[in-house]
Amino acid sequence: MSAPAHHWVFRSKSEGIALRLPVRALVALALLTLVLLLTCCVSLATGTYGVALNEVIDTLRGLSISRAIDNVVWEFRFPRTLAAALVGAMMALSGAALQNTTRNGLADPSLVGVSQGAALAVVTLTVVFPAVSGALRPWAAFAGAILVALAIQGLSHTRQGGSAIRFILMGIGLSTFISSITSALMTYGDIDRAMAALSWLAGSINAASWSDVWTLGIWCAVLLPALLAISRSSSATRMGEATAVSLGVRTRLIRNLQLGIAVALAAIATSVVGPLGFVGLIAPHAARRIAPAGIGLNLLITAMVGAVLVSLADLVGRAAFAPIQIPAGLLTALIGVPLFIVLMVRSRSTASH
Amino acid sequence: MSFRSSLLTALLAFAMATPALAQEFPVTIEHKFGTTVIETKPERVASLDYGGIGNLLKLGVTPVIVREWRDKFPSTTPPWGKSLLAGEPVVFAGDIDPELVASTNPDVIIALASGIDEDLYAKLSLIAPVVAIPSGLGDYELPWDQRALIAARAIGAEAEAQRQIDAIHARFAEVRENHPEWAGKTAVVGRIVEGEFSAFNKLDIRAKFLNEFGFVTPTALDDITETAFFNLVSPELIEPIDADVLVWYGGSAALQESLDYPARPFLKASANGGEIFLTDEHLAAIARQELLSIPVAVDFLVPLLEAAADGDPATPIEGALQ
Amino acid sequence: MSTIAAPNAGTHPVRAWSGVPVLLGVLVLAFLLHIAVGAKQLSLGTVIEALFSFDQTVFDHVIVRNLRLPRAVLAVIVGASLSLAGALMQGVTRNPLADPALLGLTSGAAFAVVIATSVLGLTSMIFIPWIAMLGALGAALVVYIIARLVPGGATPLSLTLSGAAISAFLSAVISVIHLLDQDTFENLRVWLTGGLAGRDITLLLYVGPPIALALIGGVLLAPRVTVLAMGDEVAQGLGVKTGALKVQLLAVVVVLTACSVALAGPLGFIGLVIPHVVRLYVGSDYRWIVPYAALAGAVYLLGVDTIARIAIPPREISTGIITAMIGAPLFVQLVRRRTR
Repeated sequence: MSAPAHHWVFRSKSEGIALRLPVRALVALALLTLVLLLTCCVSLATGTYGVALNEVIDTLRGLSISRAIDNVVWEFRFPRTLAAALVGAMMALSGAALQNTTRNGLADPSLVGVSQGAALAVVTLTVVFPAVSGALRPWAAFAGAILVALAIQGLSHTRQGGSAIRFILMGIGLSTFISSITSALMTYGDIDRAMAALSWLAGSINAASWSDVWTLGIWCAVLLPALLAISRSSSATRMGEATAVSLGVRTRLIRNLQLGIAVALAAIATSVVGPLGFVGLIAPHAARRIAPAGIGLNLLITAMVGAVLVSLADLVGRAAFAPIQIPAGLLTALIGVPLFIVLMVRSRSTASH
Repeated sequence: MSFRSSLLTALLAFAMATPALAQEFPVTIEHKFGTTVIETKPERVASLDYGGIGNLLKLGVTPVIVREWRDKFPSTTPPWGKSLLAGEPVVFAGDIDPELVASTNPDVIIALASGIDEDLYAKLSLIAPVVAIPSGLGDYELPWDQRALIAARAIGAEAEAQRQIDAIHARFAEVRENHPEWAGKTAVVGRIVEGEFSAFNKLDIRAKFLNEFGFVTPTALDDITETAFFNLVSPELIEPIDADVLVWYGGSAALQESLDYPARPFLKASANGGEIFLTDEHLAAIARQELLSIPVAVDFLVPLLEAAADGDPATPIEGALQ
Repeated sequence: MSTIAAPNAGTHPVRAWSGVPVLLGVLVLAFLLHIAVGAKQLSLGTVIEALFSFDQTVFDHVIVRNLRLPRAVLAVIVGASLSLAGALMQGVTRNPLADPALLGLTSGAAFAVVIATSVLGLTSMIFIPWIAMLGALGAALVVYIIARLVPGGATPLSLTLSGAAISAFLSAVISVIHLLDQDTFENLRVWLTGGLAGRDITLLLYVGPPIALALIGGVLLAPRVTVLAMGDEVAQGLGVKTGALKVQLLAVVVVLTACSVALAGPLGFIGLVIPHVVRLYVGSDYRWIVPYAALAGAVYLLGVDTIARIAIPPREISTGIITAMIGAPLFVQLVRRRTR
């Protein structure tokens, strides 16, 4: 490693908790949180209903200026802003977990077909079983995503190792296949339902409501700590499988759990706002470049980066060409692809791991 | 049949509304998302419907925010509605933006033909009482008279609306009496979509409009009708669209395409001069199904139908709107 | 069963020739099947009658001549072009994963047409093929350059990944333009999905000559592709001017791809699937692979389009969806079997 980084050591009285956290990472995390808050504030102050910034701040502080402004800020803008941040965090974490599990720096839920699988499940639900309530959507999305993840697992177990690129290409092939099935389904379905499905597939955060925020929030609150806990164990595998096994780490189980969590995160996020690509790819890499850190802190930074990314994408999409709104998914693709290319060009070698 | 059921509905609505005929507020309206109570007679009315402005203008109310009357239409209302417009409503198109609606500060929001869902209803309800469609109906399936009546109830003009609805029904009856030879003749309204003929079937408001004059849709079309309000007919098939009267709904943009349709020379409507080519304003007047435009539509359509249904090939290619 | 004794062994000439009449026969049958099938049931007798003693006053004849025939012709041309282009690409880049769509050419062509039509307002049909060619060429160059920069160089895998990235980017840009300019876009939306329904056959007047030339050129250049596939040094040692040859081949591929996109929108996976299937029969001599690929491609697209039209009556599935449904799994299999 390079020159010793400054660390902040925290020990609880009974030495039950001992943390050694790099200062740079902590500072980065704090700054990112600040940027996120700033973005959220701007987002809360932007919209077709003209609200001055000080009025927004007053409303947030609890001083009700008028019922209309309260509604606009709390009921229309707030859910959207929160949803953007949560979705960004979830997709980023999903990508990080995916990259760790597959040990492939180019992995992203939308590049391995997980997002498309979730999308197909939701479209199937909308078109074929329209009577089923919307509350079932996240579960259907999860089922679809898991099936795809299993398929990818099965496909990549061919020979020893295999290049990162090969894995991604198989994922792209699979996701193309799934997308074509989704398209076929929409052709066959009733026109009304197909239109509803189409608008959801565009991937827009605008229609997010408080119930969506609750869904995202609860799942995030459950899956993030789980991921942190598992990741601790998986850091042992970085030293090699043999070492890990000898340390008593159940690598197979850990790996599958991580994959399951990655899939769940992507599926839930997709079920609420539609497929959102490239966030899971970029955020982990950006986090590593901003500040190297241990697993736990790294995940938190990754989540923050993802949240900032999607919040910004949503904001720009809404405000840049007003009144026309560009879905955040398109913007993440526009930013994501060039970054993906840069990552490809800079990646280590394509040799097997 | 439709005349009778419309009359029945009107009577029922009349009966239900009798206490409210005196137009006492508060008014309670039941709809698919629940119940809405409008406390006092609204001054500022928001309309999110397709063609919502027509009903309101005819009842003497200028809305504060309204949807585009037609795709990219240059003005807020059709030409024959301009004189009734007393203000400058905000015009929007596409998805409904709750913030925009809130910015116009409405007292009531009318969403009877706008496709709002539960979530959007909840958000809009925070701004003002929302009037939505009765339960059990598809988003755009509310018949024109019920739509006008419910909107009228929300703004306290029910008696006036009822009178205009009755007048329109009377006009329909008058046309039917003057043209007994139309009863049972087939008519199809449709346009070309990507090389296929999109025919509006018996579930559609445009076909129902022609029902009022006695025309019916061809049996071959009814046979393939399922739940959607239109049927895409392959260019190879003639039966479903081989009606006595064929109303080409594409407007001026699709005129050449309509004329070039491969099956056209083989249709009996084409041989008998039974084709009507509508202009853009014509078809919007029919499509909007509002109190404002229905009388206008009847006025221009009847002469065209007379020329088309007489079996004589000498029919004008394009009708002119006064 | 053809034998592959050495990597560059040709196929026995007689055996290779014997396939051609068979394939031609299949092509004619597929063609007849395509125009015999449709929303309206027509007897084969009526179809033959319509082709040879056309009577304008009989609607059935109009159906066959004016509605079904152009579409079948289109399927033959586009199927042959894309397959031939794919075969050539696979030979030149020594990359079994090469396909005009996968390497970004179809996206580039589509993108160029969208930009020209909606941003620059050029709607005249004369320009479309040339604009598409520029787009395809540009995209191909960008994809190649990026793949070169990847560590390991322009390997088949890195080329494909680069192509996928560029395609994704271009399609996102197209979507944004769609949102910003919905008017002009309505006309393009149908075209962008890729399929043979409702296409304008008059475009064939402008596109026909370039495609014909490119097809002939491709078949003529095919023998030298085999030499090229053995490696640049070997080829040069045998007296082949590799630089010039590659440029000529690139030109043929670009013309074929761009014109196909102009006719039928972006259709993927045809150029990938067909050469592989053909190789199973004729081995690895491009002298045979190329013409066989053209014929087989025509048959394939005719078949797929027929299925698209009759699979779920009365609706029609877009042909592009079916080529993806068949081609993508094959693509996954091909990737799986590669070692690097």
